[in-house]
Amino acid sequence: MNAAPLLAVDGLQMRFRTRSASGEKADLYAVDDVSFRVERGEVLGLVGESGSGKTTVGRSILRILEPSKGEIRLDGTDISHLSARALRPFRRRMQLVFQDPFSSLNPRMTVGDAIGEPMLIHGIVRNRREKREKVAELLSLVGLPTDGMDRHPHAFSGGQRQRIGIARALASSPDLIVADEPVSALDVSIQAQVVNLLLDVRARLGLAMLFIAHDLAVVEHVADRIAVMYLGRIVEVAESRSLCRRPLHPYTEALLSAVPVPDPASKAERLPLKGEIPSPIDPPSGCVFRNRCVYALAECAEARPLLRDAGDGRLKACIRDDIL
Amino acid sequence: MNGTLKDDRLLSVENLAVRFHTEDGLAQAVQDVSLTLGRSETMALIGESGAGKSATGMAVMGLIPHELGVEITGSVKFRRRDGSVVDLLKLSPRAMRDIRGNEIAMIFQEPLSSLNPVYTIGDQIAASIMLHQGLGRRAARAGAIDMLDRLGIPDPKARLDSFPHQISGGMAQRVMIAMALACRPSLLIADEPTTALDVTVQAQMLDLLRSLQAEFGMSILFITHNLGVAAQLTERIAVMYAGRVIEQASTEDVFARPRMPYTRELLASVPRIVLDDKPMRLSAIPGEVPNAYRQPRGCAFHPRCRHADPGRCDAAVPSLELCEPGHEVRCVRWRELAPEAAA
Repeated sequence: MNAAPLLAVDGLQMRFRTRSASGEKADLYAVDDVSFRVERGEVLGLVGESGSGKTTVGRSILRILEPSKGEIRLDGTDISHLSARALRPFRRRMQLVFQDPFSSLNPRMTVGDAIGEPMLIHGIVRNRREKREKVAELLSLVGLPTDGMDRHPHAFSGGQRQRIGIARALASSPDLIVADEPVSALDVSIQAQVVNLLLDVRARLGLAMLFIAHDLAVVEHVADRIAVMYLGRIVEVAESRSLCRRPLHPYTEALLSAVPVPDPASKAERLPLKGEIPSPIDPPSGCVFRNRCVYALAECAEARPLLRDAGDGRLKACIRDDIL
Repeated sequence: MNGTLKDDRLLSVENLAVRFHTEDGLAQAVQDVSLTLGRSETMALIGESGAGKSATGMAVMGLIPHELGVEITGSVKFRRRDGSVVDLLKLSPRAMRDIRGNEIAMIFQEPLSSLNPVYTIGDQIAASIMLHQGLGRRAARAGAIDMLDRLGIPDPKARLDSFPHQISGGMAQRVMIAMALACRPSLLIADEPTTALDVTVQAQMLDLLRSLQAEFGMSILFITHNLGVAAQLTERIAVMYAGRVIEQASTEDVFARPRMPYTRELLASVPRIVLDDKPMRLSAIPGEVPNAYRQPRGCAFHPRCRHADPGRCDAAVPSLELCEPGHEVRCVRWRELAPEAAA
């Protein structure tokens, strides 16, 4: 009945006024001309290295940061210019799960209060008794004992705290969860628990998710589609397995080949990527990846490649079709 | 002070234990750890947080302060450049300073916090050369330029006068490695040196470490939680859990024939890029990593282990047994569980 995607981001730009290394005023485009859709119940992975702008995208969508340009539509309504008051009903529908399970919970609030507060704010529960019932439900949903609600965060391990953070995000029955590196601070064995929990929760509640992470292997496990970011731009979008099986953008290819394979027998040929991500204050002209790209041509410096159809529902921002 | 060490060995850690008596009780960070490292060998110390891998590295490096409440026992035999063998735990602080930064060097996870922000990069690299090799300022600067050049830093002469805040994370990591290798140590202890880096920079760093080892021939004790990095870089692996080594073997054997249930499940829980249509759920280990204050009785892994046998696994700490040449495992059930490993 509703044709608009759950989340539609168009031409998102995030500019920061700053100073260059030499002290002159300069503009830093942390995110530039980013557009994507997230359908109901879909998990979109946003992958990139530090400085790629993936966290900024997540925060702009939630209006924690005010984007300098672009539209953010939730269910067809542009929320990018709404006042704080008008935004409130939309806030209930989008929630954030943070990276650091230690700093994202108030140490002086009991777990029950931390999870229950959004429900009181958004009028989902009317009284203490209802709140406790709902909190207990959420705690068992995320695999924690219900008697944990009267304890404080310090009584829980990192993995358990991340479960609490997920329960808090679910408290307002959101349609969309923005998860920013939700498992990267956790040990491997605990990381697997939390990844499985997110898969379960998503299957049970039919949530849509924007899953932001630097680890392609983790993202592939959670996301239906993956968008790869580099220096503030999306360079490739594809269904997760297709993207990992056959990357179409040279940066995606390099990123995949850099992941160390946990198998000593695999001496997979690595494509050495020279240098580091350039400064966003002074990015290369044309394609921002060209100075590290093994396939770069002279034309790559001329114009910024647009994110275009690459067949099979895939998108890429690269002018070459004769590679990969 | 002298000890014995087989000819091909550089380092032998024997029954190392590190305990901290604190207000919260006794923290047993490292318990009964024995390791040997051959010349020019690269060994990984693998484990999750609290496994004791960093504390082991710090103890070898003599960086755990001798304070009230700190107890370090066992021995750490190290072959010096002149061929003599010393027990690092018995050396005076002065004698240890002679070795540290000179014959044994260490690199850390956070390159920027390991560099002094108020000194130039050149001064920091030259300092250790001047101290340990007794060279003058000019010769030490030349040594620093040479080292930066070998590490692939463009225009090393100009970089010498940069301050740490003026360089990128990947570059800072190279500078730290340059400082560590400036005196040509025979042992490099690397504590999660690539964990804070992006994967493409990490890949460059691993290539760099490999080529530097081929050039300088130092042994590397590589501390990491990343099994992929260990697989790609090392020849041997010691897996730690709750302060103890629970399995030790060649890297091939650890990945192909892990014997200890914890090792097997840890390997299974690593997310890998899946190219076929396998299900996406990961194999998780239930429960939590134990902390150093409250450790389970018997085998520290038994509360999380699906093969745990009550009465045996919780009775006494299993000893590290040789299950095949070069492969040690700390599990009372390894003989019974062996067939599953082969499957």
